[in-house]
Amino acid sequence: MNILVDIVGTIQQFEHLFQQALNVEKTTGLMVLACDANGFEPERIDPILANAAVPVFGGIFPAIIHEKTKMERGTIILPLEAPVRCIQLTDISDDSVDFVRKIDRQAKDIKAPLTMLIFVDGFASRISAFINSLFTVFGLEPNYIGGGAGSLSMQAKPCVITNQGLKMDAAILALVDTPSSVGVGHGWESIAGPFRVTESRGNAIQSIDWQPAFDLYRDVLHQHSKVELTRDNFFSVAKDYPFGIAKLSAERVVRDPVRVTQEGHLVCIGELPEGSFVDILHGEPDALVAAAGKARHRCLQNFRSAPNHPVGLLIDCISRVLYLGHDFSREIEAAHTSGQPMLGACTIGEIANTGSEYLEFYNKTAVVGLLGAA
Amino acid sequence: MTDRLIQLQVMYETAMAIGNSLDLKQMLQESLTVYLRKFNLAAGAVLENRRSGDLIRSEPVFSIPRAIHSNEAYQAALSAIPADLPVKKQREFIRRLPISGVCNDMHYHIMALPGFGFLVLLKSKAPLDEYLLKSLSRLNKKLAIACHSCHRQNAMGQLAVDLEKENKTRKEAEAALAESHERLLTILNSIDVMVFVADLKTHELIFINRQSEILIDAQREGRPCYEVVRGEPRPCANCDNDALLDPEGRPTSPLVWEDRSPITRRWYIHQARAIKWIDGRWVRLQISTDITRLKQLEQERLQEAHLQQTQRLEALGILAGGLAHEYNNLLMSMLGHLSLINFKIDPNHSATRHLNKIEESIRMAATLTDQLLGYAQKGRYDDVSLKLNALIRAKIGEFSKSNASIRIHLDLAADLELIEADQRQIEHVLYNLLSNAADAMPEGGDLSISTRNVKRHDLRNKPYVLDRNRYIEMRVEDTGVGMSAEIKDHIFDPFYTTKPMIVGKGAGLGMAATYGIIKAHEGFIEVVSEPDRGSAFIVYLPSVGVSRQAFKTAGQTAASSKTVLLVDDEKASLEIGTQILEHLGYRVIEANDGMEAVAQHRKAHDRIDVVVLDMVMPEMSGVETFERIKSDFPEAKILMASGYLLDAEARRLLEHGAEGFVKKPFVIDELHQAIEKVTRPTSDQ
Repeated sequence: MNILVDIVGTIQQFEHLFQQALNVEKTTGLMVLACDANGFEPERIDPILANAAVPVFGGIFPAIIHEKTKMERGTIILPLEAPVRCIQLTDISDDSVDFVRKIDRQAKDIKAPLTMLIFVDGFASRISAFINSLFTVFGLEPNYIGGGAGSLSMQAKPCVITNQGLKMDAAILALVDTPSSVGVGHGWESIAGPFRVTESRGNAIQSIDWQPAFDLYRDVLHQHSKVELTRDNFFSVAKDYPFGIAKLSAERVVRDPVRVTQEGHLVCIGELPEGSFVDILHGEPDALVAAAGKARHRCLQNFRSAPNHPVGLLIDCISRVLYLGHDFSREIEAAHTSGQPMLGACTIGEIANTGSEYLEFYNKTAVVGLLGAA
Repeated sequence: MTDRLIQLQVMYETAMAIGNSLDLKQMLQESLTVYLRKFNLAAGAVLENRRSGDLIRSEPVFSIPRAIHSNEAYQAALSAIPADLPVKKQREFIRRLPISGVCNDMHYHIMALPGFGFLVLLKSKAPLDEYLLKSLSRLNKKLAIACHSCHRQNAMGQLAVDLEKENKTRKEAEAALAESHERLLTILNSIDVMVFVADLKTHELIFINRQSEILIDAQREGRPCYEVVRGEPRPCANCDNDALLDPEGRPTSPLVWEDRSPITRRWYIHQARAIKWIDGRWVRLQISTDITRLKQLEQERLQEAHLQQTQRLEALGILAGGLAHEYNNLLMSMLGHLSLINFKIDPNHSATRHLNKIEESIRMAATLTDQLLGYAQKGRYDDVSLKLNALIRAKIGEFSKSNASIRIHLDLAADLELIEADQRQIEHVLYNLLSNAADAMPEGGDLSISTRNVKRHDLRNKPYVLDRNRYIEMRVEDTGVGMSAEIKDHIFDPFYTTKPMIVGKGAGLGMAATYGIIKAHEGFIEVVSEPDRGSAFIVYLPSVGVSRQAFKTAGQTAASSKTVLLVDDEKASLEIGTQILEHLGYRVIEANDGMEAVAQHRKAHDRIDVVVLDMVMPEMSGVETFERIKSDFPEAKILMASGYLLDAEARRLLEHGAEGFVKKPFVIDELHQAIEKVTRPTSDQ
């Protein structure tokens, strides 16, 4: 597969790149990963996307990855050769939406694909419910790989790329008939807990162990780091101390607190159900990098089809980028398989399923995938 | 953190996630999701036991993912669950649970959901350990209870749905009923008829439509119908509620009648019937349609018909009156000369018998002219105050002697007021009416005569012009052959008769004269009759109250020698009148017309004792002549003479100074008495 890259990030360059991708022989669909810093606006990009005669899917992210390079400006397009069908879902945050019914309506008569690439607005409040519905409908058959699109500005805006243009509070599913494999790892370790989430609403934790969520979280972090957590320094400090939700016989699922509300509620990427137990995690760069390496290893183990020029896909959390800083290059190195082209995105939440476990929405996690060239 | 602690957390979180909804599908979605997520499972399914007779079969009711049936490990798990087991055998199977197996690297675990069914979980890589499976039994029990709760809720929900459906059906029926009621009410309230429904026994108004409310100006439901509809304090005397149901309690045919409402003062045709009310009781439904306008039209039609008949009769009357006048003058001449002959020849003369026959014939002819004049309304010579009842009794006495087969019934009002009338004419009317009744009942029958006082208000619906306030009513009713409508229309026409034409009787003038006499007395007569159902003649005459006494003037026949100015334009009448007067001993001054009369009177007024003045003369009429003479000499005594009945003008002269009236042709005695009466030095009038 031929990965097309633009490092400039202008709309003209994108248009040129997009047209170039469409012109690739046997192209059945385009996966588009773009940087938030490109400043793509719907008014300008939507007409370009609408011109495509093949399915287009992807997202705008804080950063994207090409080979071993993290890019904060530019666009990557992967033209696919395998059959692709796209399903677009809107109103992901709407409590009244029955996702199963909605997916059923659009996926009627569609056989479960080998691979499902998923991009969702990372700031939507019902991503877990959406993920659960995907698993209910499509089950264990596909490998699921994807992540949350959005901006580090933490402001919701149109960030999901579809043939109909940029969409906000939406998700795009690309059902691709190509073999794939997935490996997941994060490397975060518990430093405190377990704590019980005594009140929550969607992706906002209101109280932990019957205490205001912010107060308890602040005290724990202060004990560990001696840093005084405030509303102003919340993101820069909290990115090092995510929540971990315990699972039996598996790594914890990480939830990343990204901001604190005026009421002291902690807003995370993804839901934390009331009654769940959480630990507060902390990670060492080496452990995180090692986890990415393990993910690549699992991925390779899971890839059962013949190595027919697969493409590597790294979905890595932007908060890991922020946490690792310069060490992030080591993480990319760890996730990269020599001799294989790789592209990826630094996402706001990651989606992955190995094909033998329940589909999960992760934070601060490295998801390494391999896409066959079928 | 130890695995056991994580296990406890996971168990706790799973337990908290179970049973948070009473919708089975949603509850299982949430619960099974947590099972899969927390225990790191690949798939799961819930099977429910369903009884079929004595056997129990387990059927999948929910799974995650939905398409779990294509998974080989799941199929292996299903095949491990025996189908169609008797209850006892299934219990034995359940006691062996949990059961685990592996298929294509996927492990399956079958666990009991006590009392509900089974839980099948699939896990890749490593199976769940035995300790965990045992620990899960408590969660599974909770899940089973939650499933039962959902079913109960569903059953209750179904019950609620059924109730809601029933409620909806009931509401729809009520709405339909209300709509039907509204539609009916709209119709009932839109029509211009009065409709009411009242209890047959209590008379309580149950329903009254808007038109009724408007007309009687109030909401009246709940009050008795007699009070609202008739303005009566108690049930109407003629209340027909009892007649609306027959002795077996079945409704009779509708009752229909007309009357005038005492509340609205308008005419209605009413229709009443018994109907069964919605609560099962019999009620009176009365529909009253305003026919006031129809009544007015009918009244106008009757008045028009009456007017036409009156005009026709008046035209005939003028003709008859003119003929009678001419004919009367001839009779007067014949009778006068005959009287003179009788005076001049020996009473034993052989011709006397023939002369008497001639006189008898002339008198019969005069009777005929009397009738004609009566019809022509010219016959009121001598009005006096009369007691009608006395006249009736007198006439009935004579009548009963010659009509023994007729039963007579009198119902005469004791307080009957007086009438002012010519007695002879009224007797003539009675004679005609009784004769007519007798003719109608040749085989005998019943004759009823009644009298009563009536006021103008009582006669407001009659097609007559009423210019008096009080009348007396005389009703002569027989049970005879009755009359057809055609006969009834012509009964008062002169010379119209249904009797054989016999000389001297049945000339067809009796009822015509009756009509004329009544009209001349400012009354009116009507007839009600149908073939074979008898006839009733109802006569109305103006009442003059009860104060006057009836009297009749006695005549005097003694001759005296006085001067008479005789005025007549008919030469023959003047001649015979002069001869009669001279025969009686009077001195006579003749005048051929009014002008000559006035001149003669001026010339000889000091020796003229009385003027006998013909009222019907060309050029200067009798009235004008009267006024001229009276103008010259107010004390002049004038007797009016005419072959006609006393007309209104002549009556006016009587009231303004005329001394009396003599009828032509002159009868010697009558003329003599009249002259003597006005020329007596002291009058007893």
